[in-house]
Amino acid sequence: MYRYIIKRLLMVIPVLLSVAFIIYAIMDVAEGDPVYSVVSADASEEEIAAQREAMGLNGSLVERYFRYVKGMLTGDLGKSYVSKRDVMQTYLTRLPNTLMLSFVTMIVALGISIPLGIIAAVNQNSIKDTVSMIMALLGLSMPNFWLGLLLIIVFSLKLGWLPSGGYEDGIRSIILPAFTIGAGLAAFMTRSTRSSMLDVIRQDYLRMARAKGVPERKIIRKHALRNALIPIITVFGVQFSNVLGGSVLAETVFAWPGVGRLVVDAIDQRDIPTVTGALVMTTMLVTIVNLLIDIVYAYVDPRIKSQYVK
Amino acid sequence: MEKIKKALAFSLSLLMLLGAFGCTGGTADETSTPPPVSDATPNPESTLDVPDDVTYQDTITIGVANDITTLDPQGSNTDANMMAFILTHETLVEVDPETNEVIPGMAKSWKVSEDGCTFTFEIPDNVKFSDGTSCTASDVKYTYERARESSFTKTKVELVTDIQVIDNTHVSITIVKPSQEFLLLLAHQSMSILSEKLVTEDEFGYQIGTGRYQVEEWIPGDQISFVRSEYFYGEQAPTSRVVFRLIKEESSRLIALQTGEIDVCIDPLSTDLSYIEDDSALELIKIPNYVLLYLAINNERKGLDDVHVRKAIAYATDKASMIEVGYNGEGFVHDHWVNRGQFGWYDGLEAYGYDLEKAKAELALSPYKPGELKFRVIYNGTAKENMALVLQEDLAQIGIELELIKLETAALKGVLNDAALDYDLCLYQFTDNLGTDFTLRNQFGSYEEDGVLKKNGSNRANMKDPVYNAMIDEALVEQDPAKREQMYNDIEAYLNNIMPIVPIATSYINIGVKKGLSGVKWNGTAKHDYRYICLPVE
Repeated sequence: MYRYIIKRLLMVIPVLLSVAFIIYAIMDVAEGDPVYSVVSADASEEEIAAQREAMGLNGSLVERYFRYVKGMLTGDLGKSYVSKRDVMQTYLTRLPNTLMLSFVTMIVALGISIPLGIIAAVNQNSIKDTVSMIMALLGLSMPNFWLGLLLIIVFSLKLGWLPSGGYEDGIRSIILPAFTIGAGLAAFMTRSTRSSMLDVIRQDYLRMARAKGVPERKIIRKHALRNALIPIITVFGVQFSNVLGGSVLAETVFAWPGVGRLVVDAIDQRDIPTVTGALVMTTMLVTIVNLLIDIVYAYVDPRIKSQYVK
Repeated sequence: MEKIKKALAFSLSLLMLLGAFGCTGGTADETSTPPPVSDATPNPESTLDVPDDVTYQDTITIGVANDITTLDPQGSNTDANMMAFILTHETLVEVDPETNEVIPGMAKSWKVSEDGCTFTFEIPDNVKFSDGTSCTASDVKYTYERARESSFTKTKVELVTDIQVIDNTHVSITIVKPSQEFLLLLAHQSMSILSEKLVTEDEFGYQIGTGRYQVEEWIPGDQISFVRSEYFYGEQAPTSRVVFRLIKEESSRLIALQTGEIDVCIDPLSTDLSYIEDDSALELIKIPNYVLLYLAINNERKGLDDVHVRKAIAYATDKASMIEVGYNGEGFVHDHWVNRGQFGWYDGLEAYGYDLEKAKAELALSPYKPGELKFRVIYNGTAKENMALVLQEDLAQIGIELELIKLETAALKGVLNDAALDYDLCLYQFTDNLGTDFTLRNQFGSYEEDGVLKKNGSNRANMKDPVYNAMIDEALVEQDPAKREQMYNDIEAYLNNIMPIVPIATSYINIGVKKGLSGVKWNGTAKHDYRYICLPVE
């Protein structure tokens, strides 16, 4: 198992190098010279050339990439072209906000989707199933910026229970953005849970358990759900990775200073070090989450664990 | 209140005395400064509005739409940054946004030599930076010399030939030729005084100024907070902490004001203004802004190099409809070449009203037939996209085809600033209001280098006209205000005749505030002055 983990961790290195190169290449071909983000329209050609040199924009794409990688290997992600601040430091300022929002969002999503998915599957084609699926459809089809504004109007403006944005009020601040992002994820995960449960629920071993008189609640919780978990965990992993990358719309509506907004703002300003640094770090984070998900697979399903041990 | 009145009377008397000393004292070859000098308290109305028996909120939070990008005054020219520098730094002189007069800033007085080329400033001897170190005349010299190195500030000091530190409190600045607008340039926030010691010794030393506030914490992408500087030498600000909180989404920003999470909401959606008007706890402030929206025409492009084509485009531009779709009707048609309120505004200027028949007639005077001309128009943002659609429709009616290309802001700036100047038309804006010469020179002027005329940075028309250059040079040095005004009227008429760009509109700046908020100098350039902001505790 440990060898597997180390192997997966080593695989992170080429992934990060590739991500950095792809971002560098994309930013290189994108319209808009980064130099003009930091000089005025009155800059002379000499000034522009000097600024380009200072920003490390001289040389071919490959040369610049290797210069960046050299810094990256020592933990130096460079300095923002615009704010002149250390990219790593800026990223680390935003990361706790994103992590906190991601965790609470996933708790909300799981808290809604698992029970709702089970209820829908167990009561297939009943009114409960229909209501659950309608709720899931609503969650999927509602744009989250719109849902966010709606929640703000109700819970902040009308009822005055929760702040409309920012993060100064601790857990109270996180409820609305987490629910906004979580609602969409919950809808998707509800459908996955339902379909996964439906696959399992018809298996012979459950029929056998029922015939042996095992209570239905125990059958669902211990036998059906556990076996249905693998696809649910997969979906969870993918969704968690997405949330870690930042939900730009929700972050914008709730003025939540997360990684997503950092990246989008940096792209708008052609701030290549910030874009590259933030995305490399996010890639690393996502890779680690995926690894953790794989490890969870092993604990949920002994068959998978036995493969790792081999 | 009585105390404040007495204090004002005293300070006014003192200033009149200082002014009188400035006029009559000093060396024989010096005269008083040409621009009118107001009292030394930069914002007398605001401070007077502050009754002393009222308790004010400790912290005021301002919801802003744009993030601070740097705390180096010489490192950018965005409005968001400038508003921070007004709090943390000082300039030698300031401009009163209501009267456009130059008033004292850090310098308590100044004198101008008879030839109009040397300005001698006196700064108080107790000015301190917010870290407690003293600010002296040598810091002023350092600041202006550093300004030569930055592309954002070099044009403001390009006339300066010499800076002499006379003693700790006196510095003289010599310019190559008399300029009626030199002081206006020094009033720009990018010319805020920096500490030589701090800037040279500390990577971020530039963020420390002599202003009423100092930076408490800056979290890029989230907020920046300022606290009162304990070393400020003058009257303390009434509010101890000011926060600029970034809320990019307009509706969220307005809701934050309605819920009381912020005290000021900058630039709410124009469609949401009724929520402010209908709320008894809020107040809507509307000020006409100085941001000129215009259609930049690359005068060197084939087709656009013909004045009749440019005039045809001007006649076919339905400015009122563009304001309707772009600003939700919240704007004014702009036909002039200087900003509203600027010296030299020519009332008799003949406007190019929307008239498709005249447009067709102008096009008929050009060598091009309808259907022969096709141009690309570049722009950014949704408002300009809507305006571009109107323009496309109108120009199609006179036989000019437009291809619309929406770009991100950085990409748009890249295209406009690139030496290749690869664009035909662009919907763009010009913001600065540093004086008539600055506006006209930057937008339409050019300079000679190695015998070749090169356009100035913001000259998006790519206009290189030696006759025009001579006209603005002449007006800049003219000492007689009446003659100078006539010169600028003539320049407006000249530009109107060659139509290098199409001026389109200016709009309103809308601000929602909590009722009772006072002390802010709202500025048409969107660089609001929050030094005296205060809000009574409910």
